Amino acid sequence: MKSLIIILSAVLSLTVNSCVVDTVDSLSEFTFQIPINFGADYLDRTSPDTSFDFSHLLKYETYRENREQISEAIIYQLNYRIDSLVLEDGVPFGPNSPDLVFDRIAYKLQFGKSKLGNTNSTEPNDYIPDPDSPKYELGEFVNVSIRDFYRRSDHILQVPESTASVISETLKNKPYFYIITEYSKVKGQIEDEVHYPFINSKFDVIIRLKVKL
Amino acid sequence: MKNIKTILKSSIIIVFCVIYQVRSQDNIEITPDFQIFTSKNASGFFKPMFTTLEQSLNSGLFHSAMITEGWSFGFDINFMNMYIPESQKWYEAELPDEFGNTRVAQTSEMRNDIITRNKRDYVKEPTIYGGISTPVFSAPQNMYPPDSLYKTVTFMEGNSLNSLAGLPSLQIIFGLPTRTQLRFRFLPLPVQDATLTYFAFGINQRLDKFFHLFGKYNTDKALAVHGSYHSMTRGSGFEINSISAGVNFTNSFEFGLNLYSGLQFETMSGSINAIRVGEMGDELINSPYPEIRNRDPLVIDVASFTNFRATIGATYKLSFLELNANASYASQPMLGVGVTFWLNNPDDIAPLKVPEIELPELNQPSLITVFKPMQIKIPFRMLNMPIEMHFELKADVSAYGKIKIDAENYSQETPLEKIKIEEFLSRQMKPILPYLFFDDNSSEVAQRYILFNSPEDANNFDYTDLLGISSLESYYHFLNIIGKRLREFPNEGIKITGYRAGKGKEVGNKTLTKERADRIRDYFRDIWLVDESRINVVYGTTPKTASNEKTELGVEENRRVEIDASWNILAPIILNDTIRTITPDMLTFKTQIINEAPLKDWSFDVSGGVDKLISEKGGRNLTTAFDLLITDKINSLKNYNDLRYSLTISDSTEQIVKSETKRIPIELLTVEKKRQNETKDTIINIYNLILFDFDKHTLDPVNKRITDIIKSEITDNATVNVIGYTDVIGDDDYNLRLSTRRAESTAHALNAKNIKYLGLGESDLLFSNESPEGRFYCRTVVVEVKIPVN
Repeated sequence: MKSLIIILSAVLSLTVNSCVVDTVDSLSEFTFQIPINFGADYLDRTSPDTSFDFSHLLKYETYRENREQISEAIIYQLNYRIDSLVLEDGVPFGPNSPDLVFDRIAYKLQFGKSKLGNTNSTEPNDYIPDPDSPKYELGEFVNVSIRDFYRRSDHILQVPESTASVISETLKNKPYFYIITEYSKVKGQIEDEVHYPFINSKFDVIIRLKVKL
Repeated sequence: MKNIKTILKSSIIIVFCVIYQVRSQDNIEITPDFQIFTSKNASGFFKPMFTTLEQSLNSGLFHSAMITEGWSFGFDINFMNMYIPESQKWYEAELPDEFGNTRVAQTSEMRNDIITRNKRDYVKEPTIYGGISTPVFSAPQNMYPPDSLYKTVTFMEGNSLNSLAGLPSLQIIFGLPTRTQLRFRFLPLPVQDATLTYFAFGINQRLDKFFHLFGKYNTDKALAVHGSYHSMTRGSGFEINSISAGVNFTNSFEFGLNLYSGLQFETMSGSINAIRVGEMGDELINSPYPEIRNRDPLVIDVASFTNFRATIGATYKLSFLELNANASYASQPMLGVGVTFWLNNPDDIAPLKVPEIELPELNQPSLITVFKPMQIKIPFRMLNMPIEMHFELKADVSAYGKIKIDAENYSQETPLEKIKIEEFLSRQMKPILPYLFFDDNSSEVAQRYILFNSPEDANNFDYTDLLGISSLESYYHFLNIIGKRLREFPNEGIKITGYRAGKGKEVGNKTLTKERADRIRDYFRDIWLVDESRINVVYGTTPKTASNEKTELGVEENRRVEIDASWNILAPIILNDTIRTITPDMLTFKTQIINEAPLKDWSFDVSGGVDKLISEKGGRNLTTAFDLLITDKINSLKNYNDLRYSLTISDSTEQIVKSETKRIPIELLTVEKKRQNETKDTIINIYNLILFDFDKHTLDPVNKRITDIIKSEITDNATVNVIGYTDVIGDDDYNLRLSTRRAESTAHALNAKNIKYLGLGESDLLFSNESPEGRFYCRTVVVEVKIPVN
């Protein structure tokens, strides 16, 4: 492989030196977008509530193939939806159900910490949230109507570039992290907690991996 | 296999951006990170890059059509830079089939902070030269379980490139004696234990010399056709071919500079078939594309956006180096530079051009020696072995004279010894056309007529103001001539009749005729202070002797005011003047050169004193004869002692030769000198006089009176020439006959002893026929009476 690189680089160097312009060498950097799917069946959840969802980029072949050459890992967009919800009275949420509106649902990222020091493990149970890691705010939805979020794909957050660039530096070396979802009370809720026997919610986080090949 | 990396991702060879080969016998394999591509999306994503490759391959196929007739050998390298148009930064990426079916999956994207729902079929995504891509999110609907396959789709991002250096081309060039240039490129690139092979063959065939497209002796223009074939292969599943064909043209300048241009068709085709290997991560296992989930082979169609290219460029030869720079317009506009190293490339020596010169009979021995055309061919000129050669270069120019024999023809040229200007006393008679013409539907006097602004100005008018000007120019004073005569003859009166055209806007416009006539009356009254009682104003319709209104010219002539008066008022102007004649009428300068090397440029000058009468310059083609009409330059030539002329030429070897500066003496023979020398002299009376009505040749009473005057002045020894003219209206032959009859009628009336008459018709118009008065003054006869004295 190295011999090939040398040969091609020799040819390329002619090009690079020929003009003060972008060269073919520019094409040695590619940016892949990886959709990281979060979501699970959550039993006996409440409002308000906070959930921690773990992800390790080693589960993704794109990351595994290029982990040594990644120059940037940028969290780009985030999409949230609810696929299934059973209400407090045990009745599944449906078209005729009364709507529930969360005041806000906020998303944060906190890097993980391996319990045993084996960071090649992709098993969530091997990690805990790193207490030394800040909780980076990715964004939030306000006035989240369950009816609007029920099996709809159009709730998308653009992660601020400033936050993404800060996360990027750490993410390159610590590709294991938690997405923290904070649910507020629902509108009209007077109780401290309202229980929901079953929730299936999903969110996809798009990560852009810049790879210097 | 696991440790094999797509090193060619970073390569100029496009295909290796995404693929690699384990062994040469194996199928091409695609690494998992690039497996987010479907075949169709990969084709769209990489197509601009295939275009760059295709344009790179088909560059440097020609730099000059000036291909020499001999063996040559060299090699060159070319660099180029492509500019990526915005249109090639995006492509329509296909979406999974289920997307857009809202019963199956509900989809959305967020682009520029705007969320769009229900995306289906295709979505705009960046090509490899574009920017950030936009993911499409999907939510499975009720009939499908939450974790069904319909998930988020992402696309490869582009590299945000606006320009890009192309693949340098290194090639060997063979030139054949058939003016054929063959170009070869061969590039084996070892990739693991297999080889990527790039091979190209090009041909550039000069044509103009076979067909003498630019002349037999042309050395500065060349036309060639060119074509090429390119092949790039590596094992199974990888094959790219490209062809091109076109035509190119070169114009050669001095100092080794060539400018060239070309048009070519070019295309690329092929395909890359790759299999999907390796472990599949979640992003691939969950892909909504069946092709990706099922690991179907990836088939990339290789194509280019470019089909036609126009190129302009320049080459500059510097010893064994030939530098070139060019610009091309194609789907990706590009600039290129390159250098050719010639190990052997003979200059093309054209057969010497020695113009065939018919030498005139010269009185003096000519400087010119005529050489037979010869050819010098230098088949081979090795580097650093300059051949000393001397190329003969001579220049000469001679002057000849011609005499005008009729309206269009001159006599045979004869060697010229001098120019002779002779003065004669002359009586000139100029007739007055008593018509004043107006513009369409206007009563304003046109600016070409000379009107005074005050009686004081009118007092300064004198008939001598009419000396040295033509009859037509004198006519523009005719209101002032009549005004002056009305003062000289206080008992005379005039009749002013206003007319209008019988066609167009003026039809029935009585006010117009009144205003026209009143306008002229007012001028005599206010400027020439003529009592109104002496002016009879009449308002007519169309003139009694109207011009034929079938044509616009006839209509134009009827928009007029006529003045009727006695002979005292309307008699022709008679002036005593001095006229000058010049011999010959025209000079012809003939150039004669000998140039063994191609001519580079020339200049030819004829001057009189500080005035340049001819100052011509040119390039490779020398004008063989220069004509100079001098009959209209008598007044300036009489001030010079001589005319001087010379020819300067230079050839491609930078020799400059100036011919001998020759002089033509000018002899001025004045009346006074002739009397002092008791030389025989002649009085030349010119009666430019008789105006005929349209299509008439008979003499009216006024013209008979004029001919009586002329007749009384013709002596026995006088010679009389009568020349008839017409205007342009009517058939050429008819006008020739009409002018002849006019001359004949006048000659009969004059009944002189030595008289000749000639009709010139409209072949020699005395005045411009654009104005009605110009046409009237062309319907005339000029009588020239030469009376010998002493």
